[in-house]
This record gives sequence, C-alpha cells and structure tokens, in this order.
Amino acid sequence: MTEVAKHPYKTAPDRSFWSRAVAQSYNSADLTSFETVLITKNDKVVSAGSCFASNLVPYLERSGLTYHRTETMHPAFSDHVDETFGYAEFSASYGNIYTVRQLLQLLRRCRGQFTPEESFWIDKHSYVDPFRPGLKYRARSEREFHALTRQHLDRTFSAFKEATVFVLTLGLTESWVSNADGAVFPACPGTIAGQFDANRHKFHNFTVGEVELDLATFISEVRQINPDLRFIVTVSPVPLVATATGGHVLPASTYSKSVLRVAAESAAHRFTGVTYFPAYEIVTGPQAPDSFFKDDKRDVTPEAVDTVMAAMLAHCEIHGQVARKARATAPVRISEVLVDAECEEVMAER
Amino acid sequence: MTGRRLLLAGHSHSTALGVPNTSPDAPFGAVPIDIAGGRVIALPVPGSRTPAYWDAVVEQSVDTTVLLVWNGNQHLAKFLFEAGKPFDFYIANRPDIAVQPVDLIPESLIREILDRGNALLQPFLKRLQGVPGCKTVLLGTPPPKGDDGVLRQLVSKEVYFVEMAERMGFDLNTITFTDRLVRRKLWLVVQDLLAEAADAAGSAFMPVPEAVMDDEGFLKKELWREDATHANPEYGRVFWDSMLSKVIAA
Repeated sequence: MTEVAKHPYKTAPDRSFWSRAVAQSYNSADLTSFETVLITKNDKVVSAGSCFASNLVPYLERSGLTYHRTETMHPAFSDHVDETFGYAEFSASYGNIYTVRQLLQLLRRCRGQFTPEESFWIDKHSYVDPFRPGLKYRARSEREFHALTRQHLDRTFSAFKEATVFVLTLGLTESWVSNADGAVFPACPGTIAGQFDANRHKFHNFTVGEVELDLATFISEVRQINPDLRFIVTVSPVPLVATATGGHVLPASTYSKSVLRVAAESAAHRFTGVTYFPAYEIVTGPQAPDSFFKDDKRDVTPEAVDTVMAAMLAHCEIHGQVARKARATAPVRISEVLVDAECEEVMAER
Repeated sequence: MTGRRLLLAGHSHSTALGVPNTSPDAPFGAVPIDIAGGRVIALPVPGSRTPAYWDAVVEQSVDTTVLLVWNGNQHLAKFLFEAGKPFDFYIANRPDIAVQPVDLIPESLIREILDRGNALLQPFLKRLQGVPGCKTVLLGTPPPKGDDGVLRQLVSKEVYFVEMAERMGFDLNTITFTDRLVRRKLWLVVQDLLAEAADAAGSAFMPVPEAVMDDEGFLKKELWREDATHANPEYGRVFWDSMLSKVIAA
C-alpha cells in the first residue's frame, strides 16, 4: 500500500482551498483572519482615501463605533453647508485622497514640512485650493485663504494624532503633479477648477515601488506623531473613470488596482498593526454577483457596500462582542446615498 | 417745493427714517414726512410688507427717486446668540479688521447666508428700473448695538429672540451673545451685500453716516429704539442731517 505523500496543503484549513472557501461555503467575513479585531469599542477611527473610503463612516457610527471628527462645521452653520466632493464626509475636510503620495503630502503639509509652490489658484475674485478644488466656500483674499488652509491642516493633524485606527482606502495610481515641486493634485487642473497648463502640470502614473515607498513612509511618519496608530488598508474596487495613459481604461485600471493591492500587502507584511482588509476582492472577485456593480460596470451598488461593511463589522467589537460572521448592515438607502457620492475623479469625464 | 420727488419705502428700518405705520386695513397712499420741507414722501406700512405694498411702491415711483430700505436684521436674526462656540471671519475688503483665534468661517459662507435676506431685492430693483423716470437709492441699515448688558434686557422683551433662545436650550439670562465685534462684522457684510446689489442693478447705495456710530462703530446709544435691532427717530434726524444732500445728489 502506497503512503500518500505529506505536503503543506494536507494540513491547510478549508479557507486555503478555492473549492471549499469560494466555490462552496463562501463567507466574505472569512477573508480576514478572526485573530484580528479590526476596531474595538474604545477606538477612535479616522479614514481617508478615495470615494469608497467615505462609505464606512455611517456604518461605523450606526454600529456604535467612534468615527473621530476634528473638523466639523461650526454649529451655527451646520444647517447651511452643502459641500460636495466628500469634504464633509471624513474626519477632517480633506475630501477624497486618491493617491498615497497625496496623503503623504497632506501629512507633511500638516507638519509644516512641505509647502506647495502652487498653493492657490485665483478664479475671478476667489482663491481656489488646488488640493481641495471642489470646496464650495472659497476664500476671498489671500490672507483668508492661508488662514483657512492652516486651520484645515491643523485639524487634519489633530485627526491623525488622536486616532487609534486609520482606515485607508487606496484608490488610484494615476495623478497630475506640479512640475515645480512634484505636488500631487487630487484632480487634473482644469477639470474642477484652475487651468491646465502643460508647462506646469504633468501626468504621472505611480509605480509599485513608488506606492510601496510612499505608503511605508506615510505609516512611519504618521507614527512619529501617533506611535500606536493601527491601520486598516483597503483597495477601492471602483475602476478608473478614465486613464491618461493613452491606453485602454480597462488594463489601465487593472494596473492601478494591482499596484495598490501589492503596496497594501507589502505594508501589512512590513509593519505591525497594519491589516489589509479585502474590500477589493469581496466586490470584484469571481464569487461576487453581477449585482455588485451598476449597469456601467464601474459604480458599485448599495448591495456591494453592504456586503463589504458586513464583512468588516464582523471583525469589529460591536456591543461588546466580535460577531465573527457577516451580519446585516444598515438599510440600503444609506449606501445608495454613499455610492452616488461625487468624486473629483468623475469630473475627468465631463 | 422744487426738485425731484423722493419716496422713502422699505422694511422696518425705514421707520426710524420717518416712514409711519398705519392701520392694517388702510389703503396705500404716499404722505409727506417732515424732512426737507415735505420734499420726501413715504409710503406708510399697514402691518406687514405684503406684495401689495411693494406694488404700491412701484406705482408711486414714476419720475421719483426711491429711497429704499431693505431688511438689515438678518445678521442678528441668525447670529445674535452664540451657537455653542465662538466664530470669526475675515472680510476681504476690510483687511484692517482683526480676526480672533476662534473657529474661522469662510466669508463666502457668511455672505451666502446673509444674502438670502436679499433674495427678492434684485428682482425688485429690476422692477423699479423699468419704471419711467425712476431712480433708486438703496440705503444702509443701522449698525448693531454694542452694549450687551442693555441689549440683553431689550432682547428679553422680544418674542422672536425669546423663542430662539428656547429653541437653543437656553434662557435669556444665561445665553451667550455672539461677540459684539463679530456682530459688527456681520453688519458690515450686510452693508457690502446691499452695495453690491445696488451696483448690480445700476442703483446707488448710500451707507449710513459716521455720525450714527460710536467710536467702535456701533449704533450710538442715544439712537437706540427700545428693541434689539432698530434705531429711533433721532437716528432718522441724524441720518437726514448728514445724508439728505448726498441722497439728492445721488
């Protein structure tokens, strides 16, 4: 009788096998190790990233977890503000942050380590923040612009310093940067505000090496001000609106997501307290139903967001317990609002 | 009487300038007021300013200079009481005014909120522009009252502010007022907005005279009416003494 050879797969758990973990018995919550509690009831969560990053906020808050906000509208004005582009959605009003370089740049601006040469654009009689170009209430003088920007950066710094968990959703590798000093814009100048100038602005598609380094640098530098900060890193499942590479948008999107996915994995391996959460796989994997994307095959549906958040919340301490299985989340109407949130990126198509 | 007819009309601050109130069922009709030897006429207000009142202003404005008072209380209606914490803001055209180290609000947001009180001003100015021989002079509105102690006593007599304080969960003895310097800045923005509205409609704007203000730019105490926001008839006298010749020349 021949003895069956022993090999590592023999003792691997069911989740290691496609046939047992995806083809059958698939549960999105199983994609993350249950040894990890992502967010506890005492945590203060901040988030940043692409449009998808703002999705988690109402889910966390409805689950009794603390989303830490350091830049909220003054109560005398809270019923008047009608901001777009996610400026009111995050811990501070930095809006959507699509590239890791942009996030690193924000941190360094908060710390006074970087001041962009193109720090504002003038549009008629208002001063436009190139790094928050869709901000509705613009400064009316240079003096006011600098004061408002400093206030914003100080509050962002507080968010980063006071948080215990940072949820970071990586969105894009393609970006537009300043020729002068490499400052990264969230959107191509001219799409939302400002004017595109080929002499001053250039396209850059970050490589995997650059994104890995930027992410590692961001984690290291933010831990200089907040040493115990834990990270949950995700990759947005939403494909590119458009590519500036000149190629087809589909492979360009795959490139972008692949780079981000590798960088996320690298950071999770390199640093303690950094966990990759597979939102990307939950929404785009072959197990995902067609109903996770709208008819345009780009925008995710409320059902997809619900599923991602159910999987995440299964690893969070809610009402004193970690569920360890995906559970029903907030009503769909919340996520309908979220998935329709405006992104600067979309403006590239208009 | 010689010279061009002057018609004084508008919202409640026009009362201090001489516009009389009348009974709610009285018909609209212009009456001379005791300014410039009867050269200034006014349209008495029967209760609130209904669309019929504004129609009457238009009807009376042929070959007339309309001296129009428009709102002027929106900054206090919204911001007299401090909502939780202080705020301040820059005014682009007043770089000389300091800003306190509290929550900084974009001036563009302040302007948007205060300009809502002027939503119907532009259409009305356009209407007057279409009246044969009509010129319009938009008048500035009184500066805010700067003595918080006295102001608190006056405010406690006004249902609007009593209810506003209640909605905010306070009573009038303890509620914090928005910093008086910020209240004055809000008023300055209201004046800017009026001036811009006038300019956009091809009308003139006549700011309030320095003579009605104290050293800090607040309404002189002797010109206060016994309420939170308005000036008294003496304010009207000071206003006309300072401004009549300019209004005529406008």
